[in-house]
Amino acid sequence: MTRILKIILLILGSVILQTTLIAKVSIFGSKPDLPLILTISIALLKGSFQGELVGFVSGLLCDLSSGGPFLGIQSLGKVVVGYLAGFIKGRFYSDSSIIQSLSAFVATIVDKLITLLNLGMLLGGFLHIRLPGLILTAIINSILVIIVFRIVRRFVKSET
Amino acid sequence: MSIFSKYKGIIIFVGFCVASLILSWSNPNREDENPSFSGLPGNPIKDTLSVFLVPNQIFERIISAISDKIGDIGYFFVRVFRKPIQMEEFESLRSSIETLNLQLNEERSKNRRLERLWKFSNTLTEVNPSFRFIPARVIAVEPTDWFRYITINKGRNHGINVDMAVITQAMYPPPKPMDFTKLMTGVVVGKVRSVQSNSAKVQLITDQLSAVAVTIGPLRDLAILKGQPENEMCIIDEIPSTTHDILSAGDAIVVDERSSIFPPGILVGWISSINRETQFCHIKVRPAFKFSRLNDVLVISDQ
Repeated sequence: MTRILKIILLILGSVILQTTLIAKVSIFGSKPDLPLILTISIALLKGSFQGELVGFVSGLLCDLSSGGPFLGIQSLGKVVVGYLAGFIKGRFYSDSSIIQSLSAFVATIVDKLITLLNLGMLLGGFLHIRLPGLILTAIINSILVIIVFRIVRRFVKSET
Repeated sequence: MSIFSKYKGIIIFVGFCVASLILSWSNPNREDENPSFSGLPGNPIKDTLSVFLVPNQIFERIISAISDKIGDIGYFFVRVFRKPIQMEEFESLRSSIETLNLQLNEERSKNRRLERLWKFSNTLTEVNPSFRFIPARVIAVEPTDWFRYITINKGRNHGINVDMAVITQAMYPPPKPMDFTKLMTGVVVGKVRSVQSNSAKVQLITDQLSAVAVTIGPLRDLAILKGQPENEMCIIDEIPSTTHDILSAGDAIVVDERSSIFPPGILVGWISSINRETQFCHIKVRPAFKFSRLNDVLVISDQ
């Protein structure tokens, strides 16, 4: 129960930080995606089920915080990312910074492409995305995941 | 072993994906509106579930308040580390003075900002005495890359309603000498899209679903300005050649008098570049406000 509360607090904290502090910080127009980084961290620590659950809830909260008219846009990408990242647990050494960074890099691209595809189908047209911006976001996420993973692991007190 | 036990992981994954897709495609009026022209109507499920974000909004306001009081951190650390009594009193007084100075500077900066906002609203009221403004502060911005929205700290309780225009002071000087009206000291930021009791969401003109009726060129042709969130710009598509030949970079784009939401004549931005083709051209417009410096806005409650 305590662990569930801690995860809920982490999700809420990541969404609030994303809408307040993080949204005002950008590096050449790219921003980190804290809820996505949290999803990857939980998936690497706890596996696919908890990863996709955290991805679904954090994506839903991001959509609720967003001004856009859609719900479920962010959660679909994060569910897929959480599910796939959970496969790493038990198969690779998820405490390795390289594994975390690579996972975050690939996960960012997968998440953005899924969201872009879904949004494109909803709006009935092809949307533009800046490829350099996407790569930069993936790099920023792959650096931040190393720090966030350690915080999450300590906070949740994983037994891995 | 039952099928569910054997394929539990995949079934749960598919279940989450289906739930996400159902939620995102659940907008019932999606097919009735032309999204590129008027923007999509609100999602009733999202509007209903947004009530669960009340704690989120409370936290956002707390964080905003905390960032205003950041000068207290020094005083906190002084109190934590104990020193001999006279030294402690002296250092306590010194850090109190430093804290007060920080707060005073912060208040001065806030006053200067509000004074500029007040003068700016007076300038607009001189032009049109029927303008009524509600000042508001930006407390949160869009967390995703796909839309461009801001959250302001005023809502239904302060007289804010959906489709009210939101403006701010122009943040860039005109790129070339031009006739500058008083109305052009203000720049369109966006319009209110959803309202809660004490906050509201404002769709910026750089949002991909935004559409603003604007006037371009000396012939005052009507055009529709759309947002390009990926590079914080706006575009006007398919201007006929009879118009674009006389346009040049640096020309001002203002709200057209046929706009039903924004006051006519208010500045939108400057032409950044023109991509001329045989019959039509595509114009990129740089908004006259900077998204990262957007702190104080005015909501036009009556015009």
